[in-house]
Amino acid sequence: MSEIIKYTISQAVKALKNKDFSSTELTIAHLEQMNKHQGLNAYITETADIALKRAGIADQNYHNNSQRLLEGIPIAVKDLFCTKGVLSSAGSKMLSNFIPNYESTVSQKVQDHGAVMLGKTNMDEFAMGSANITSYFGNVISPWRAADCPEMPLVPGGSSGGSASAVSAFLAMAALGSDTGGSVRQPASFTGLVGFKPTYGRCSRFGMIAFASSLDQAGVFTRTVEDCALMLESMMGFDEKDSTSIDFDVPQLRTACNASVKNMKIGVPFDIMQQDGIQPEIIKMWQDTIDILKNDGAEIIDISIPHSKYALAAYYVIAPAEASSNLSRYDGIRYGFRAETAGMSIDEMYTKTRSEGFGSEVKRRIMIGTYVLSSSFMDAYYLKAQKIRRLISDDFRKAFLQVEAIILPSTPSEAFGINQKQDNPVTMYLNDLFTIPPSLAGLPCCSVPAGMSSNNLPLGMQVISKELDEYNSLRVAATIERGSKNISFKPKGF
Amino acid sequence: MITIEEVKKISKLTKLDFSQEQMLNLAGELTEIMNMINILNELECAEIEPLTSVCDRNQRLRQDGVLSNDISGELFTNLSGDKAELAKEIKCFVVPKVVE
Repeated sequence: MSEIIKYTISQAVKALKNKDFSSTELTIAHLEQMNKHQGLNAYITETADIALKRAGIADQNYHNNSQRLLEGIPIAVKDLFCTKGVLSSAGSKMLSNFIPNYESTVSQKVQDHGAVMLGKTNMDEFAMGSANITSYFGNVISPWRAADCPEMPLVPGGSSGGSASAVSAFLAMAALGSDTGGSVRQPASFTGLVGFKPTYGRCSRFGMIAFASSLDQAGVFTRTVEDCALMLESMMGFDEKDSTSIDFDVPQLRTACNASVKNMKIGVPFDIMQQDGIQPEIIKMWQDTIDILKNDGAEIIDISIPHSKYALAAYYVIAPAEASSNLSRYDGIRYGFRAETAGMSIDEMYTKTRSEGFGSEVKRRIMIGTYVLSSSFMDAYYLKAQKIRRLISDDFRKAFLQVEAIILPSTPSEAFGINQKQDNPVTMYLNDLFTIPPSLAGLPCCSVPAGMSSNNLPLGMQVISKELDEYNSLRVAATIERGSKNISFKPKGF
Repeated sequence: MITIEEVKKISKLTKLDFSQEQMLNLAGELTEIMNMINILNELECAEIEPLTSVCDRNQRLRQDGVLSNDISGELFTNLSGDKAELAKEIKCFVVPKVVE
């Protein structure tokens, strides 16, 4: 039965309908795989009892022929989503005892479609990181190994590293993640998965623990583009509990997976491709992708995002500024961790609680955010960054007058070792070089596996489309997936 | 360049406490980050309108009314610290003495 964990969601739904196996059997097979690979540290909390109960309901629904879209499919949920009655820590000591009384809209929606939650996945603390090395619950390990150094554990990327490792290692058929500056697309690229961040406002942020509210968006990891379309159809949609939620119908996305890109205009920012410092293997993947799309009849058009070189800097002003404000709620009074503060004043209690409850990367970003928001620097940094955000958003608007999709690599490099890139924070921030520009513009983007490095590690290509046009991102991603079908994106030994 | 004095000032605003060594490291790290951010100074943006939200639609409004039932019991389920049990019992958040 262990092979059933390798099914795609679409295959598993068919098999469940055919009664080839039950959701209970499928769930048990995943729980066994989770147990076997505890060393990856992909989950913070496993919810076997809840999963088996829901799998039983799913089996009953199949028996009654009243199954829903994701009926009986075992999935994982990033620990950033509040789940009623289940620990929701956001990878932080600050919330290491936080058991919500309510469910996030997105996790509720996928479960309303019949998905079975296996557990809550590990993540960088408050979603701040690109390597999943800042979690209070320890590092997540990637199931992948580099050919030239197989003994070195690799990062799965971050911040949704637990979700990425879980899906890549067959510990779940899909996983919810969140993406502020690349936290779904970068780990998807590092682990050979499809990762999707929808248009800002497509998925409700209700019940998602906030990092940077103008950028945070729920996303998803799957092993195929078709599975991604299925998950997005169940996750997206208007929610009155989120004031930034878009009231716009969710289209049928699965048809995108079989649509050709013939005569489609696809943009490539060749100026970025010619920049120094991008690894030759990334350039090759990019060129191979262009060939795949051309062979399917797409027209490749040279476009320019002239202000993209300012995106990283603007992001590292805006995101920490919003984070410093959002994280000011953690004071130890109403919920979460409170330090032992006998005999202290209330100010001392706040300070001790926050100093003990937050990890170093979170503190660093709170400090930067507070600095750029302080009265002397507000105009020079925060306001300036918002103006540059406008310029970047306008660059994309102009580009989308010419093209229907844009392709950019997801990451500037392959996955790296757990102990690498820790010399200074800026080195780590550079991981998000390509994912940040479309995030600032709030655009839908899909990372799809498109190549392998000489080290036998997966590389992802990012497909960006215009606001609310998830369909075309999936359409191009599915074409790239078909064109790369000779490459196995399964980690060795799994 | 961010000095130790500035780190001290910001840490007070953020209600975070650092040792002298941590402050020294932070001054270096924050300086590196700000050096990366300073590329923003290359651009002249006086005439550009800041983008505060990618949602350019009008903000939705609703009637100002109570939508949820009494959740006062639920509010106290996630308390921690040595006064948590007392707080649950009296249904008040317990904090250290504010007025001397």
